[in-house]
Amino acid sequence: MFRYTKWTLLREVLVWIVALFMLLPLYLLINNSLKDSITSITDPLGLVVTPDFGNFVTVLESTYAGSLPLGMLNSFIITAVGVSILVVFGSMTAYVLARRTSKVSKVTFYLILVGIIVPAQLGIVPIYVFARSVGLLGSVWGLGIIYGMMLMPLSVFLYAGFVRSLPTDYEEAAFIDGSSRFNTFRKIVFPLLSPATGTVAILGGIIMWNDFFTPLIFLNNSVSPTIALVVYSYAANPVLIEWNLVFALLILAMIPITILYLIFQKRFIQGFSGGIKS
Amino acid sequence: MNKFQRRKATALMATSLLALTSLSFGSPAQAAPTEVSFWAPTVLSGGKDPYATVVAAFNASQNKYVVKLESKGGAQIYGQGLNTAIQAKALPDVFVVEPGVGQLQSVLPLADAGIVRSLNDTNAPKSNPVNDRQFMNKGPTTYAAAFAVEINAPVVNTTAMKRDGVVWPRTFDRMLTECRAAVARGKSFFYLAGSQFGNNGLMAQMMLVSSLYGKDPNWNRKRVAGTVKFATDARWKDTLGKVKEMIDAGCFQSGAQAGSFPGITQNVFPGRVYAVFVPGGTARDYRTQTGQQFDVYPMPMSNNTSEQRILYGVSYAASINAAAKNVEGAKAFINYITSRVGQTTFVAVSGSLFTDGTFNANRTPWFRPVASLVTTKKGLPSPTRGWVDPAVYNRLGTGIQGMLTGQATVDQVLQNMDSVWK
Amino acid sequence: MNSTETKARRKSSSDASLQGEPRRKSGLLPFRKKTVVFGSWIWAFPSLAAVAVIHYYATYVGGSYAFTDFNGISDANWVGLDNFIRIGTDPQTMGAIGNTFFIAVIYFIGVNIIGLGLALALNRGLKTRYFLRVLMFLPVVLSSLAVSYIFKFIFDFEGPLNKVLMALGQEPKLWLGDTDTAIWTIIIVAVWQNAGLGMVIYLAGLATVPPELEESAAIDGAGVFQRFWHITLPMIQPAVAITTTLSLLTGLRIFDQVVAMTGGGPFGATDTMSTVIYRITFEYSDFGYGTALATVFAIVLAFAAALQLFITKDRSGK
Repeated sequence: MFRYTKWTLLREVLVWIVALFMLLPLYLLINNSLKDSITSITDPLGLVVTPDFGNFVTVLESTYAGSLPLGMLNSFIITAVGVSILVVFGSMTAYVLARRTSKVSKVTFYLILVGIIVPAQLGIVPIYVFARSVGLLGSVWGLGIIYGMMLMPLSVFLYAGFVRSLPTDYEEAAFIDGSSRFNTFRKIVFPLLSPATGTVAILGGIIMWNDFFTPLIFLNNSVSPTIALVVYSYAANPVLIEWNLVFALLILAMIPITILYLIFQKRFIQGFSGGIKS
Repeated sequence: MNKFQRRKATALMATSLLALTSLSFGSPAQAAPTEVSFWAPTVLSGGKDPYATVVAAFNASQNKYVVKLESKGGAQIYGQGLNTAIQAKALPDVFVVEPGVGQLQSVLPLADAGIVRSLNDTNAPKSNPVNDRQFMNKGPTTYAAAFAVEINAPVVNTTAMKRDGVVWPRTFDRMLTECRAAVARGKSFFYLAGSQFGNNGLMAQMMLVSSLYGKDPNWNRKRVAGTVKFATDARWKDTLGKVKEMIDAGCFQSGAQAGSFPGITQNVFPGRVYAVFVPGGTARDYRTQTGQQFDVYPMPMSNNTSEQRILYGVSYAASINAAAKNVEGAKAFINYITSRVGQTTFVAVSGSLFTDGTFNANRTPWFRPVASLVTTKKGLPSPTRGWVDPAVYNRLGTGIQGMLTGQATVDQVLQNMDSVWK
Repeated sequence: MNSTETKARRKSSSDASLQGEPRRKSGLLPFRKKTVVFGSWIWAFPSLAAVAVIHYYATYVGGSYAFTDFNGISDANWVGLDNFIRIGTDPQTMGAIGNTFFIAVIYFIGVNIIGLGLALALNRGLKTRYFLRVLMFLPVVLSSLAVSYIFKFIFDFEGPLNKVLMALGQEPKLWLGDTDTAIWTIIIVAVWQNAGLGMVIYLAGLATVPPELEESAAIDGAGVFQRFWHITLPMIQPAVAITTTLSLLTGLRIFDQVVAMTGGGPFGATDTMSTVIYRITFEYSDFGYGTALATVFAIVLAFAAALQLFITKDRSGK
């Protein structure tokens, strides 16, 4: 039985102090986004006196660094394409490799796993050259496809662990009933894999949504920036940095993922710790 | 996106032409204006973009072609966007380039690789300034057309300077004295954005043009031949040594190694510093923004004023894509920007000078303090135009930052530059 | 000839023994000799092709660029090992390598200690532990670029941190411009953002430790630390393995924070392998030298990951 002693209360208070400390930067972010440019520099810590939402409007209308709404749309397309590829092809591949027990499938599986440890991020130059020769450079759909390919080992890994834990009874019954292999997978196995699908979608989705390095290389300065690129072009602009405007932009950029997180936080956390099970 | 819009425009034009020719009996059909795609870096001068202004003027001056401008980011990221487009074979018809070599947007390597088209059938070969032709031509062929000519020298808040009773120093020693006096006043003579290698590099160039290239204009050629090196050259050591003297005399604001671009205006506008290292045309911008008097003064490097030189050359030019879709439209645009009318529109916003060297101090009063240098032909183009590897300029800039932190010596910086020279 | 025959025979026999299981199951249906076939290799083909191209072929092609002087726009010429030799003689690169390892080690320690500490604190008992977990994990899902800009503001010479210090009578410091402190700002930002990830993984691991085990050990007289070291820690070995490897790899590849806050400065004090590779390959368009660096770095990463996995391997013989 667990007792809630005064030591526990002390622990709770201490952790809360740590938590508030850790969240101070976010307070600064929100607080200063509502100030005018002078106050944000002279008095960054003080609570804003007269909240001014005009900064958000200014930033939304700004075309200096590409528009933020466009960036959000592009990020959305890229993430949707990438996650679809990961879910569809990753699940099928993991299913085949995890169910079959031949040496070939084992070896293939490990070969794919190598891709996680040395992720394609580091081979970015050859991928860049490859994308260039295939015509995928500078295109939003192309980047989605590339992400799907780059993160495939992660998806296969997560699905495979889950597939192995499923008993084969249902598939055998369906096989006897004469169901085609694909139908069996589609109607029976895949729905059972939904926890893994959630993990893959969340993990992969966050990586793709927030990534800065890869779009910087593939979409650099093209007509179709991602959110990360819009933020970068705006905040790295040598002449214009006014912190209150930058923060307004950052908040707008962070809103989608934060809302998703707050709604699905349990799933998010489960997704990240899901890797433990395998 | 561009490609689709262009195809759409061409399709529209084709169908409308077909329709009109099939219906008309003898009266010539009016074709819709064809599009010319044009990329330029994002430049805001007094809140206006000189490229956008000249594009609008060109479009208004005729109705055969419509130039569509895309601003691709500030100077430091424009080159990368251009490079990506080169890789993806997705260049526009016309795009801004820099003369010389060494940057991603430099025109000569592009000419070597056959990416840009010859401009010999335009006005460009005649209108480009003489001193800069070496950086825009390969042999008899011209590959870039200059928009205007820039003077790059310290931009000074004359109002603040006079208010404190300071006269611009004409010799190096005098400048050190003024630096110390400024510190005593609780100010700083210069503001240097030390965290940006571009700002350090620009300052270095403003100094080198007098202390080295004015005395030995062929130094870069010697370096390419390998007969001289940065680390062993007496004048290079002397110049960077003078930077060290300036650091020691407190010429730069404290914490200069973390100085940033926003800090430039934050400090020079209220007169907390007198001078900053920005392109000369920015003085016009500052005048408009603050109502104070800003002028361009020469950077003193020696005690012999006859050695004074100034950076005077082309900063940005336009080239035509060798695979351009609308060559005629591109040529028409080039002819416009090299014409007197086009240049007048451009320099009215950018604060630069005409390519033919005509200099009217009344039209560009911020250049008065350097007028005599220009008219006596003491202007030289930027020395880094002849440096092949961009890493060298980067090392120069970060090396100066190292000197500001006290971590790097003059010799280390020069050796660093030699080690990446190609 | 002989050995392949033996191999084939061994393979078929091992396959047979493995297939013995399904055969047993199919005993339910005595009229079927054939076993269930799961999916088809064709299904796996797209992914396999993707991995083969992206992770193997592209790396091979890229690796070969390392032996040339390709600059992105003109033809490439073979230069042999020149680029690799350059790595050793270039002080900027050596400095960046040092920074990369320094950042990775401190980041590793930070994320794991703080993550584990938070996990232990929020494991049981606290009334608000679920809410706190959600709060602490929030930074993980945010864009690291955005987070870095917030901290750039905080560490600015005229920013809130210095204002607080001055209010306390301390000297304001040039956090981002001092070669000694700049690298710590990068680490602090990265740890701030990712400590929550460590916490979450350790929490998952701690959840597998039954409280009765600890209680009986406590009754037997084991101290808090002893309980942790001998009971808890071995039981969360998988969590330790995952978090340590993940944090090591992340720490080595830090990029966004440097770009946003210091650009690699001052004077290269915060350059990491990722930023140097990016600058050389994409800002200088020196693909030859850049890929040579990337190749060497990839080998370092693979080695570090393998080493880390080996060290934290399950040794309990379970």
